[in-house]
Amino acid sequence: MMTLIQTVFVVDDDVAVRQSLSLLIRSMGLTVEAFESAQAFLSMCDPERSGCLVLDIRMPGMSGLDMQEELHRRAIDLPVIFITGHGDVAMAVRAMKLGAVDFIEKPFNDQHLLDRINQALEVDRAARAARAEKATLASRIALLSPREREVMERIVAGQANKVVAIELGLSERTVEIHRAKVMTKTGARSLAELVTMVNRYTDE
Amino acid sequence: MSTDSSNFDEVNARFRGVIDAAVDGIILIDECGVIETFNPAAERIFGWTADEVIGHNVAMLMPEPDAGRHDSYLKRYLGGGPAQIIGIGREVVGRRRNGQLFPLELAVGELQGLAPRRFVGMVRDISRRRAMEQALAAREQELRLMFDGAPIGMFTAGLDGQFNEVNPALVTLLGYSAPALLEMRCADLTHESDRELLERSYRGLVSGTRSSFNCRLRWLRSDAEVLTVALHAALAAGSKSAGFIIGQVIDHSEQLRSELESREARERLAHVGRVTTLGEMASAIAHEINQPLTAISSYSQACIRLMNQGNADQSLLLESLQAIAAQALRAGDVVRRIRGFVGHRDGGRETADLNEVIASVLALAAIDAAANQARIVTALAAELPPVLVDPVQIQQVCLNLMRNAIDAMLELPEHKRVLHIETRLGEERVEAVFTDSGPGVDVTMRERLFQPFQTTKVEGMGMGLSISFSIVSAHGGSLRYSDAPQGGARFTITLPLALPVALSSA
Repeated sequence: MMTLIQTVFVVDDDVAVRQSLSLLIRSMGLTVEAFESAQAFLSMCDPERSGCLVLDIRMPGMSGLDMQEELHRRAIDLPVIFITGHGDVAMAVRAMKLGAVDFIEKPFNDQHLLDRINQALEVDRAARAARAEKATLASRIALLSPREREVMERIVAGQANKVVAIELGLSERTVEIHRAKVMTKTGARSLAELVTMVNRYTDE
Repeated sequence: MSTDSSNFDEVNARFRGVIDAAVDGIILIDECGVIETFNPAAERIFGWTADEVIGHNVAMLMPEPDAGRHDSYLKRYLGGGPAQIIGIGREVVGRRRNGQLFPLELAVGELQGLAPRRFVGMVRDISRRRAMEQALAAREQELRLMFDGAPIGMFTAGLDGQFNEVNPALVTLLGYSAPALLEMRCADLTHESDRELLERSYRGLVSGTRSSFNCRLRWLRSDAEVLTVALHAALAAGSKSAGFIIGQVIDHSEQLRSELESREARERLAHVGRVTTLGEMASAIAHEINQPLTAISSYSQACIRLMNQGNADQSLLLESLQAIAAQALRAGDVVRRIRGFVGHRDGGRETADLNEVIASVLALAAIDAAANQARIVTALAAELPPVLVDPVQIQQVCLNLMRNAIDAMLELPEHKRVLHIETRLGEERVEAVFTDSGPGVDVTMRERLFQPFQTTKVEGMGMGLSISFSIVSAHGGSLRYSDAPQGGARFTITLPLALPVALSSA
């Protein structure tokens, strides 16, 4: 499996905080990119890039919370770690509802920050892996003919070939051929694997 | 003999003329007291004609008890008794025809070489003189009562300042006895540092360049307590001497004390206002200090990591340390401004540049502005003349107006939140104008705008403008509200210029 390049995106309007935070994260062996405003980040933001956001909640122009909402609108799923100088309960609740990974008060302990960042990166990695797998599945399932799809749905539901043949008005032999095609096209090596795949695909 | 006779007649006629023309009453009596001669002046004085009194006893011209005793006075004298009045003269009481008694000066002489013996009385009516004397005495008595009873200290002094007379109020005020004070001069009572002022004022009087002066002096009581007195001294022209000084002394110590107390009360209130302001700004200030702390902590932890990894780039470490130092100063700067704003409370007035006062508080206001996404635009006049102010209190007024303005604009979109601050030179005064782009002050609020506990804010005591108003008023200035031309609220502070100290002349 190829290694994924992940970036920590720092957005803070205070130049000293921005630069020091970037240096700290870089010293942790991570890749950092820093932005002075939400707008600056949004204008270059690439949904394909993996990583996480370290976002100041209080900024002129677009606040951290507004930016988080904007990311949602654009369907950009980067995990967000909010940093704030004053733990505001209402803000924290809103941020967490929007899926923020964490809420850290300034100034922060570096290990704590590193843990949060690693956790966020892991979340992103997992999410991307899940999305990738789903995409793979979708493309494979797209290869199936309508009949093959009908057969797949029934065998995944636990129906025996004979039952499938009767319900679809096919010969048992034909069902077996369709079933073999399904296994080949989806790449499933066993019925159990196929069930897992389809469940993951349909699980929304 | 005819010549002798005519000569005698002539002399006699001449004497008669002298007697008739005399201003004083002349009365001649015999040894029994019977009137022989009564000149016209005597007629005028007593109201009797000569005809009516000649041949009668002189006792009719005097009241009892002298009238009844006059014969015995005469007898005693004629019998060789000591002269009581003859050749001496004295003041006695006369009795006019209408019964009125009056004071008269009586000189009595015996005509020598005549038998029977005769006496002449010279009479002068002194009732008018006596009335004037009495009026004068009464007047003096009144003045004396005024002097003694005056609630303020009064004195007369020579041109050298030595006291001639002091009234009881001054004695009480100063705690010295009157005799002790009469040994002293004004300067002896005056506090060392005020003597020069007193001497200068005195010289003005003595040299005649001014007729009076007023000055405020510190005087020392006998118990060494320091009094603050207002001395009014005026030059009085003397009839014989070169003149003297009349002084009035009013004790202002008590008034000064209460003035001081009300000033202290105002300063305490102002201090509370500053603390409250900072309390309200606490969140924004905490943020402002937290930012550099965050940078310091992040830089340090990054350096530690880099050094532990053993691949620390020397120049990167140096850069980080420099940034840490700069951020520590940044945090310290915020703390210093807060301490400068709220720390001291002695409230001394000093000459200051209003622009600098405003600039020093702009940094604090900027914190508030940044926290609320507002902008502050300044247009400060170049080279304002100085004002005499307590800089911290005026800073407080300015900060209060700036914060109010920022609060007033929160409903606006961020880019419209602009506070304009302008300073300018007016006539004999400087002005600072704070104009926001908010909704302005509601008509119903305007009248009570500068009264305490008036507020439209959810938080806050409503004391800010009231404290600001009293601070500016105490500086001899004004704080006014008006609607800004483009909408919004406009507050204008006006302060009088600091004038060079001049000695006011009376």
